[in-house]
Amino acid sequence: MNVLLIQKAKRHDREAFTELMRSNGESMYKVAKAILKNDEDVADAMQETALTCWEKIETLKRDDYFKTWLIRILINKCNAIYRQKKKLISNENLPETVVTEDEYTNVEWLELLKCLEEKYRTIIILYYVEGFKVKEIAQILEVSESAVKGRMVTARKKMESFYRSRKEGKLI
Amino acid sequence: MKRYEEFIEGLQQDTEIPVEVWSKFEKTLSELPEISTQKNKVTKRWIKVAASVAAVLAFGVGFCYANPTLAAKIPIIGRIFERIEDDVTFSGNYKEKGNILTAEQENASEPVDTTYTVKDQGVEITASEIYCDGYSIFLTAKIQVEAGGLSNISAHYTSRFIGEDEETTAQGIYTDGNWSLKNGNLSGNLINSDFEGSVLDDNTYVGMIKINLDELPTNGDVLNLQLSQIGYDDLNEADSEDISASHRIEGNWSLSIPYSVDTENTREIVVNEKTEDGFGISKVFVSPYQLVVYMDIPYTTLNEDEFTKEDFEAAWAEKTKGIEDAGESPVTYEDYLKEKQYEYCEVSAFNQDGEVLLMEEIENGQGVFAAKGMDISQLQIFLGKEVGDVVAESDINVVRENAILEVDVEVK
Repeated sequence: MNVLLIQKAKRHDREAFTELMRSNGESMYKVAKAILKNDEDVADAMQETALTCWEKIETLKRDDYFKTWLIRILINKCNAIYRQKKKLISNENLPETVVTEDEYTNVEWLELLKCLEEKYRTIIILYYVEGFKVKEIAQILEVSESAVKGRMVTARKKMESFYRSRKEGKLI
Repeated sequence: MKRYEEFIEGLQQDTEIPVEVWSKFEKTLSELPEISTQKNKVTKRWIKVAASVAAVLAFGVGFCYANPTLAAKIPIIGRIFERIEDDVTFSGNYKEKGNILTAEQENASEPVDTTYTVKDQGVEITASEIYCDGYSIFLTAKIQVEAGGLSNISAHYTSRFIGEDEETTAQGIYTDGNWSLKNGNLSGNLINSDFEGSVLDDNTYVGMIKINLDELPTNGDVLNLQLSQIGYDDLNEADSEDISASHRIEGNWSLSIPYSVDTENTREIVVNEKTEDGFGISKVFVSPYQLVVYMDIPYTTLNEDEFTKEDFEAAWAEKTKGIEDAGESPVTYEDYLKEKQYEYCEVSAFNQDGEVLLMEEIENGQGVFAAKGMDISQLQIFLGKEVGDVVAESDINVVRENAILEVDVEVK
């Protein structure tokens, strides 16, 4: 974490803010992709997050919480977009997908994550990919640390169950 | 299990961001809007803060040096609430309700009663005033650091919304340690309790720490406070991995402080409203400084059939080792089975004028809001089931539309 950049960005230094956001771009994409279905929505969420952060960065209480704060804003944006889409297609059933053993190698890892519910997907990304600690994830998602731990274990169980059912050629 | 590890490793691979996503992101960054109004306000605020600190320093150091008797007329200990109560997150009028533990001696900035002064590692802490609304203890202290450097503590905003309110800032000192009550069975750590206040000079800080008791005792007690570490962010030393790490002082500062509970100015109101699927509000607690909403949130626990000890060990072996290596107690299988897995739930609250209250935290089924001097005669409280449904939104109509439960509470 580059605290100097954060300090500059808090004073609305455009260059510093841009560099800061670029350096977090991949993390933002992975987290947003874990929640939203298509890249167009992900791009919208990243755009809105960048704008909100730019407007509100001086409200950041602790510099070392920058990434936690950023991801929390991103998740809120993703959820808002998700809710809008859900309202628009409320009666539309999502198509069922069959993934067979042969197709497995071609399935992107992030897509594979979609077999989990959103609350598990986000935690998996935040913990294993972005390296947030349980306490930090609890802060991002406003849930207790024990809930985070619990969801991590449940996610693992669900993934194992998914592998088993996929082997048997069941629907996901 | 191998498949799961493979899955995680797959996720950890570098991800190529699609060109169209990155282009839009870059375009946004290249067209960031001007925030001149806020910037001016921020600058103004900083000038105001800097000017007032400079004035205090100039007056205190220059004028009082020439006229030491006057220096005694600017007391600190015993009047810290007065200095900081407008600027902290849980702002309000504490000076008329807080209990003064000790005041200053005349002609010296030393406490009359040193019972509440402790010193270790070049850091002297004097507890100054205390107030308890039943849910939290609010304790003020003067912190003197021999090595200095406090002038560089960075400030954070404490107002409800930037640009909408008069903007306030405070400076923070982090703490680590534990607290307990002498007679009550309550205790906890200070993970979420830090000092908020202001720097008086390079060696002196005054601030308030808020310790949540979570329960609502009506009798006074003695607070045992054991600080093991203090630290702060430095505005200028800004390029390290963990900025506050360079300003942490470990030591042992233990204080025992009596307090009484203000039952006259606080109210506990039973609500007991629930949705069909079990989300509800059982009661609210209102004090001059905060609102606490007690929520009922559905939960499940695991049983041994659906989650065996082998499952637990397989899932937790590595983490357990890490936790043990860090000198902490790991979660056991038995504990884990008892652990309540709460559904997600969030809460927001508005007063009779439709003004949203600043939410400070949601923890253990309790939503805590800062009253910030707001007149509260009636509350409208909303519960949401999905992230962002009702929090971070100041438009009551939007919140109402997303909420799964709305409750009106008469406070006065």
